[in-house]
Amino acid sequence: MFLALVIVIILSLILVMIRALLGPTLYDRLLAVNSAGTKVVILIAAYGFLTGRPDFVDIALLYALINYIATIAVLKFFEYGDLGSGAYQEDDL
Amino acid sequence: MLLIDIISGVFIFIGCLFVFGGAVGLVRMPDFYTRLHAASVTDTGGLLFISIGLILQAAFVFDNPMAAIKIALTIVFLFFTAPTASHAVAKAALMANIIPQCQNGKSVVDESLTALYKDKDKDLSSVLMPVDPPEIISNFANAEADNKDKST
Repeated sequence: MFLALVIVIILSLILVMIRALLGPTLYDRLLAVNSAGTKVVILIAAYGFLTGRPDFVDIALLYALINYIATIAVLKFFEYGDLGSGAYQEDDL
Repeated sequence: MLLIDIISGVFIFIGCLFVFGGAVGLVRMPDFYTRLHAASVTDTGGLLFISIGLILQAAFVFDNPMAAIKIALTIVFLFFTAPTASHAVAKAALMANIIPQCQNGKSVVDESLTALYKDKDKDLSSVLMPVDPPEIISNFANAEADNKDKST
């Protein structure tokens, strides 16, 4: 059961990576990378169960945190060209 | 043990359908916003069902309740963050003038909707609710009427 789950998630990861390589726009690639991150979270948890060590879910939880922060950071960087700036500059206030 | 295996197997199978269907949709869909829809299904539906199956396995087969609690925490966290990330990506794409397609290949929404977003984005209240819903609907209707006028 866990082996089938791992195989399905790896096939899905390959499909998602095809979209990340083909994607016509930047946002397609970003969406594909975000989706791949969620799949990797499931993959890490399932691999832990497959090898009989359920403690791997710690790493999955950590990866979920990093994935969300990374998506928002990349979006902000491409929208403002700068990670330090906010939506409202000091001149606007 | 056998009953738990069957129940969690059914949950994991449904989750696998969601994940694989979302991945196929991400490759096959024609337009950015439809691809976003497919990816969001993977993030919520697939994760929920697979994690329920894994929780059942961890709690009853592996006898490791701490792992079950951690998977439940992962579900809660990802249910907050995945829709937020999808919404941020969609809004950033709309601000970058990526226009949704309609069924016959023509774009329903023209530049006016994205221009509306860009103009109204400057004050704080409009960020929380960028456009009133009736305004969006009337905008769609106007754009459709314009397209029909052009085609006839």
